[in-house]
Amino acid sequence: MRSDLPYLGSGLGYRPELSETITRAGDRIDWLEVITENHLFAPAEQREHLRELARRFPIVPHGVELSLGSPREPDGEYLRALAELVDEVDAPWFSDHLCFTRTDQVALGLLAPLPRTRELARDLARKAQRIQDSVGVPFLVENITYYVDLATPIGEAQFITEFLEHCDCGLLLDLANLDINARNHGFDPIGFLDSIPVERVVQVHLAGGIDGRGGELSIDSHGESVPERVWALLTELLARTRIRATLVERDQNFPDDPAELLAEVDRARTALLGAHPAAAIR
Amino acid sequence: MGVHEALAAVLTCPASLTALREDPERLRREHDLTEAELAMLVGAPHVGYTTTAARVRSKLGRLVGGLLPATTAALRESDPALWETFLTGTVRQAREGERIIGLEDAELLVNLLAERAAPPLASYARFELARRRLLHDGAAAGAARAWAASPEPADAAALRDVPVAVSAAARVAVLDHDVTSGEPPHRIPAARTPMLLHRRWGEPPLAAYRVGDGTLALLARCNGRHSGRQVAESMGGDRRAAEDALSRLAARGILHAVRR
Ligand SMILES: [Fe+2]
Repeated sequence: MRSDLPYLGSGLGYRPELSETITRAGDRIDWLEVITENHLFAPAEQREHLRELARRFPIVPHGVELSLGSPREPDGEYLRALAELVDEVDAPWFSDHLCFTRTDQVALGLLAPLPRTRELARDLARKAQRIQDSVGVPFLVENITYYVDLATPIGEAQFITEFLEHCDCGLLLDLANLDINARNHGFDPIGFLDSIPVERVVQVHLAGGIDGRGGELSIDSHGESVPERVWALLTELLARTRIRATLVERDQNFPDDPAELLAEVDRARTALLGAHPAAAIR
Repeated sequence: MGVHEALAAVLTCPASLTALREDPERLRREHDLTEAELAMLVGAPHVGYTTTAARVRSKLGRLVGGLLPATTAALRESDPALWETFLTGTVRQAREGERIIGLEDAELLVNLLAERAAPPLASYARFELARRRLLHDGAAAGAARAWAASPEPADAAALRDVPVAVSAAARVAVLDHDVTSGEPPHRIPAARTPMLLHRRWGEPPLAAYRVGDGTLALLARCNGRHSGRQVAESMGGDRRAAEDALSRLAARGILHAVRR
């Protein structure tokens, strides 16, 4: 993996509902992540708005529909448009998920878990490498929240490790997803951190979900404040490696008072700088 | 075929989920699974499947709701059972090269409403879908942008001897209900309502005007083959009035002279 990736600091996921907050409190937000598919084939004015944002903030496109884990190759037109978008906003990297969202027949519209085998991890690593090479900047792959825990020969941490060993893409570690998966499927998240190549984590996602009660699973809603458990995982991660960026992700249930989200962005920055004071200087 | 397809079926089709529990061999045959692949599916706790299946439905609702916000809000309020029917009965197809994700599914909802919903809501849904399509149409945006950058002269004389055509930024939709009435979508009154939709460059990016039958007939004749004079004469009434109408439409960027 390239070692010269820029340090972005503490960012916020751009959503139209947060547009005003981002404009007004831009000095408290180091960078923005935008949903790739909202901009790829969007009305032209939206692209213009994005270019305006890119003059003010570093921008990273974060995709949800690449469907890396589908058996077929990704759509060439999609990849060309993605490369154009990356170029247009001068993104230091781009990201999507280690999952599938569609098959030849069905579009699930949801990040679905993969049948984790070593063979598949290696196949997907080669595919991710080809995608990274064609887009031209580093590709970060994110761990998902999964509710169906397929009885696979290897676990998620092994699958991610096998994947990373066969490509030079980076890892976008969603700590909220890790926390929810660990609770839903009964594993130790610290053990997970100790068994993946943490030095490959470039960026993290921080978010909150809904705790399951009475046999229900906890749900990754991206609609609650970041819980203390997730902040604790950030501390654990930062004790193990130096990362380039954190991102607070909120997709729904936007707080009336933006101070709540901005305080989370500040807290993440403090954690980053506290762990590696020289990080910002590069 | 294969485990991806089998998992997608289990998440979107209640019969496949039942088969997974009660007759896994059937699922294995249908999707040509190996024993190992079937074991992965059978060995997963059931609650994961039901939780994910519910999320697939809610994602469909959010997707279509984002494209047709007024229609879906009115449907949920006026006929929640039909909304549920849509969510449980729709499996989104994987479409090669889908650019506006969910637009075809929004059309499926509009078709369902045409068959099963109260007529006012069905009309409104067609109107909202037509707006959404125009908003995302690249040629329409290009035409709106080009016109905003250099509006063409629109006086009657400029149009008289050159072929005139409707801009790629404009569309006509003739509805059976008055979408301009201001009533909630499921209560708009029945009335033949021709609407002219216009993609603009700026805010708001889309304008919708109610037009009369005369304007409708005029627009239909502006097909890029006839000059302004021929179009005005073919209207059969006051030629000056028709020419004025042409230049008013041209001044808004709805019509333009075709240069050869
Ligand atoms: Fe995430």
